[in-house]
Amino acid sequence: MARRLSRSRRFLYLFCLFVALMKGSSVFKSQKLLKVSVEHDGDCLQSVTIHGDFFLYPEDAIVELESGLQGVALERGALEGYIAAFSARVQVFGFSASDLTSAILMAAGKEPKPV
Amino acid sequence: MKLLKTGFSDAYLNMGIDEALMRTCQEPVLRLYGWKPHAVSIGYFQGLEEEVDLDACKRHGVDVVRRVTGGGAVYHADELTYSFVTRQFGGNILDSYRDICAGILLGLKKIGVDGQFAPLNDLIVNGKKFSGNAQTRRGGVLLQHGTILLSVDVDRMFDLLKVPSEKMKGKLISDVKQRVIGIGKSFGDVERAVADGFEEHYGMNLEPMGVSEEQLGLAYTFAGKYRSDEWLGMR
Repeated sequence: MARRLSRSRRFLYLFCLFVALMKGSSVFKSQKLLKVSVEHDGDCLQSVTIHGDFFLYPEDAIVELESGLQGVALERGALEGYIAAFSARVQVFGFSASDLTSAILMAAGKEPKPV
Repeated sequence: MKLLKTGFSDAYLNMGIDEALMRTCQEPVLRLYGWKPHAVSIGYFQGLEEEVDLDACKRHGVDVVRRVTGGGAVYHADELTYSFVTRQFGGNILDSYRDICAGILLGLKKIGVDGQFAPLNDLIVNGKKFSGNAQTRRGGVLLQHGTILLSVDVDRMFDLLKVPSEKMKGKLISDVKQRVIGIGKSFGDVERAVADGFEEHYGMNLEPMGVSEEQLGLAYTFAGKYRSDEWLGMR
């Protein structure tokens, strides 16, 4: 019995670990190339890294964008709203709020990646 | 407006001098330079491991550096590179790219290269890219630097840069060979032409300058930053 419990607990732990650490990445061709990596719990972003050959002024603001996206729901409206509000405070060249939202949703497996 | 010719330096000092000029900018400076050894530079927002084959760069003796500006990965070999720093610029970024690139285009036209500006940050001739440019604005100063390709070795470039899929590498190389071109002029001719173009475009003489002791000290300090793993692997 003790061994069974231990196994089920182990299963539960592994399941939680799997759910907590769902990861994905995507490459999205906008005006410039976006390369996005995400960790999420199925509903919300836990972390996001945004690479690419785009321009963002001031450059340091990328850290604010990435950290600000933590906890945002993996839904187009929520993501695009956050990114659009951020973009209004800086200058971005090479992608739109909609492009980055698509890249994130694709990385999270919520939208299909282009073939 | 000042003209600074620094000849050929390694990637870290090249980027260090650009940053030193930006930090000490009082009046506009046009700097013209080359890269020795050859180098790969990546944009501020690019992932190092995603973009660069570090082993291949080491094998070929090619420096790898992260720029302070955005944009894409560049293989710096047979080219003239310029940087331009100024405190006089407008708020519209596209307009400022267009304005600075107009000086380059004007100069190159004098040596038979009739190029055009291709937004956001490229220069093309006969539909093919021969120059990429990148800009940052910090502390009230604009820094724009860019390459003018004299010739292109696409095969070597793809030895050094990573491609999304090895299966597609052949097609990518052939696409880039169709889209990118060197202008086939000498370093010295392009150096003179770009300086002439800036003089004419901005309607002022370029006064030759050297790097001051303060600027050189700063440049070496910044070169240390550019050489560091912390900066290179930042993203």
